[in-house]
Amino acid sequence: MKQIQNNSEDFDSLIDSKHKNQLGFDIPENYFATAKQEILTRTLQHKQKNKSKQLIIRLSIAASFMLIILSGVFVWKHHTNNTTISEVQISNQSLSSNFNNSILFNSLFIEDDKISEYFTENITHYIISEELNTPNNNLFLNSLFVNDADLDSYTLEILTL
Amino acid sequence: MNEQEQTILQKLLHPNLKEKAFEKLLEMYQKKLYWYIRKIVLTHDDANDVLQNTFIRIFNNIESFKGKSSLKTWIYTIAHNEAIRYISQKKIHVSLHDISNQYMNTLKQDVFFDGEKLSETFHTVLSQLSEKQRIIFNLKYFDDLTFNEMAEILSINENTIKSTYYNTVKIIESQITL
Repeated sequence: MKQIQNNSEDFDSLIDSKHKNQLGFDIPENYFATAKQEILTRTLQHKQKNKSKQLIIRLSIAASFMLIILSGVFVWKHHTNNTTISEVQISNQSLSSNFNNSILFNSLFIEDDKISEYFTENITHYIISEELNTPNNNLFLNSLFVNDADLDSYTLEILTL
Repeated sequence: MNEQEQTILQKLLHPNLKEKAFEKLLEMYQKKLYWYIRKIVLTHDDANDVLQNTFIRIFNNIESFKGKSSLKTWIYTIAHNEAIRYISQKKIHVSLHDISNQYMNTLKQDVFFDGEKLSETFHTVLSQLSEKQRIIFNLKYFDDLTFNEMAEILSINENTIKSTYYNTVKIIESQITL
């Protein structure tokens, strides 16, 4: 290895002198030592630039992945919320229908007397009060409350005339 | 590829050893590449720029070296391409007729050119050669590369290189004594 290095150094000095003497190529003093340092510094800077470029690329890839994931989560969450609302709506609807159904079903088991009593108390009164509030029907309804004797005398009077 | 090249290549491909191995590679080829580039671009400042670009390219692309050629010829090929790219960007050579004048003018502008009688005569002869003749002559005469290595670097048939070289030597010898 040392032999190779010595040969290489000899060859380099031979090349140097050939270029200087025959071609007149000169170089600044201590050029190769300073150039070596410059090259090493530049390659190191280049390496760091490449590293930071790679870092930026990696970060942007990670950021885009995060963005995709976040938008995915957002869409999924939104979809889930919608489902919940509709599910709630459906369950409410089913509850109310069940409630209505239960009234209908329960009514089947009430005795007829109680129903007619309820009808007489609430519905009949309601109908009568409604009818009373309607002016055209007043005559007819009032006639219902006239005594039969008065009605007979009234009809006799009309007929005899 | 010789043993020394294989060892240094293995280290260059190892992430932890790369920087140290690159420094070694720099020591091995810095002077050789500088002189090779200088003969193409002619001035010291241009040679310095091209040399730096060459080594940065080597450092960045060492992983792509497939080992089809020797490491030495791969490095010389990068230097050659960088130098040719540089002079085409700077348009140093305008046309064939202007080559000789441009060559001599570029040389004389460089503060690091010592225009002694022999040097100027040598350069005058070199400037009258075609670029291909000049590069082949320089690679053999000054850089001491083998015909096989030159064929790899320039991607030219070895026999073509040999015949070009010997013809060029005859042309030069007819004007100066080497």
